[in-house]
Amino acid sequence: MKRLLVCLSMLTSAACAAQSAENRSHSTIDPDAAYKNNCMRCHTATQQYSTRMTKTIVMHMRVRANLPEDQARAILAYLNGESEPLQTPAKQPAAESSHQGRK
Amino acid sequence: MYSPTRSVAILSLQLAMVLATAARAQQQPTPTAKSSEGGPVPVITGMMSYQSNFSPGTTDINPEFDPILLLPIGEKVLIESEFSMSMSLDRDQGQWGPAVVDHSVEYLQANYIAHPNLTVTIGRFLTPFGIYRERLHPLWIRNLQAEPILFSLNATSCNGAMLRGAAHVTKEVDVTYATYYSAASTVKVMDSDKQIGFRTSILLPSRRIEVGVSYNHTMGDNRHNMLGTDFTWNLQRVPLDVRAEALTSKEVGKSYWLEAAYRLSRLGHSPLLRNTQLVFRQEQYWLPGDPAAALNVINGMGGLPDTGTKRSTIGLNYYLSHGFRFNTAYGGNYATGENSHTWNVGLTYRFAAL
Repeated sequence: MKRLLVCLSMLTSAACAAQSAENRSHSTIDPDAAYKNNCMRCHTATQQYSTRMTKTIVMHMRVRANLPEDQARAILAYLNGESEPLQTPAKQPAAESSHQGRK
Repeated sequence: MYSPTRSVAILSLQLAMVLATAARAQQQPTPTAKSSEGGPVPVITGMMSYQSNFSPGTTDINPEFDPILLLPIGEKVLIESEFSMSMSLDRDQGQWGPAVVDHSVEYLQANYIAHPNLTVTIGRFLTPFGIYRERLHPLWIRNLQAEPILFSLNATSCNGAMLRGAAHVTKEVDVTYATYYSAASTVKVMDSDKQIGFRTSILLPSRRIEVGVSYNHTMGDNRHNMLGTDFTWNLQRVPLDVRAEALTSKEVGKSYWLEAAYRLSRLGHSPLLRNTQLVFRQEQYWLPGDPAAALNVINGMGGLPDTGTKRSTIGLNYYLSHGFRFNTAYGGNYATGENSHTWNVGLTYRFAAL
């Protein structure tokens, strides 16, 4: 039970951190930096796939590598050949957040 | 007859359907520049590998095929599965032994992205303890084909549920977390222990440094606790990756591995240099204080040495085109009465298709 409480408290802390992050405004995210800072932690090289396949693979990696949503979107942009920095809004509905924010 | 695995599978499917329905309900048509390109599509990916190991008097060959299915349902739900099939054929003192075929479900999970910082996972998933099991163990990702000793202690999958995600603490600091519960299962291809645990890490993205802490409490016959820490640093000024992981447990012993991988791209522009990587790994394992008392637990962890062991391995990887990678390594195993050296040569192929 004690261990379960430890796990729950960890989760609560993380959720609080997530909530505070939600309320914080971030500047731009460079897709190139997002790719290098996250993907290259484990991958030496990645292959090119179609845009829709890349979306699926980024979903998979978002879960596996614990990527925040804005980083996942920036990586998707990088892999799809978009190099312009992405604006991350201060707060937006979760259902729309995966579509908005591009310059 | 009650079957925990069947219950987990049925529960997983039911929850996947609920999550899929919820995700569909959440999706709203949002006009974006990219919406015309369509959403994510199912992907079949995976890898094939052929590895050979040569040590004095012994040769073994290990072909392996790991297909992966990624099945997105909208942009919030992803069902994914990896099936692993491998064969081991040994030649010892001039005699070929029987070919041992092994197969297992590495993971069969439904992920629901419930929030930008929270993903709910149910089903069978890789135990998020340290970095090797979840991130580095696929043969096309790991720098050295031989697994570290420490991997024998946590090469498990869970049948249960997991909450995970990441968030920005400051502009320069992210925190990641994963916490899980697993039920016990004895089905061969989907076995698991009853266990709970978590992993959390601090990530400095712009410095490319991550430091993580993991805890696991395994219940049942193999009851034990493990505390682990991991470190990843991808240097920016030189193409060097440094990774390390350490684990301590009163019941199963202590171990660490430290690995450095250097890409030769800075030494010249020729393809030979650009695509070559040198790797070095140092590792050590210490038996628990009372090995006799821990015998049952240790015996349940295949690949764990029965004495304190040091290993040093140096390797070379060459990245060919179209997902092929050639690898070779030479390693020394240093233990009382068990000193040996092993050559490894192999080829991996990573593929993805619609």
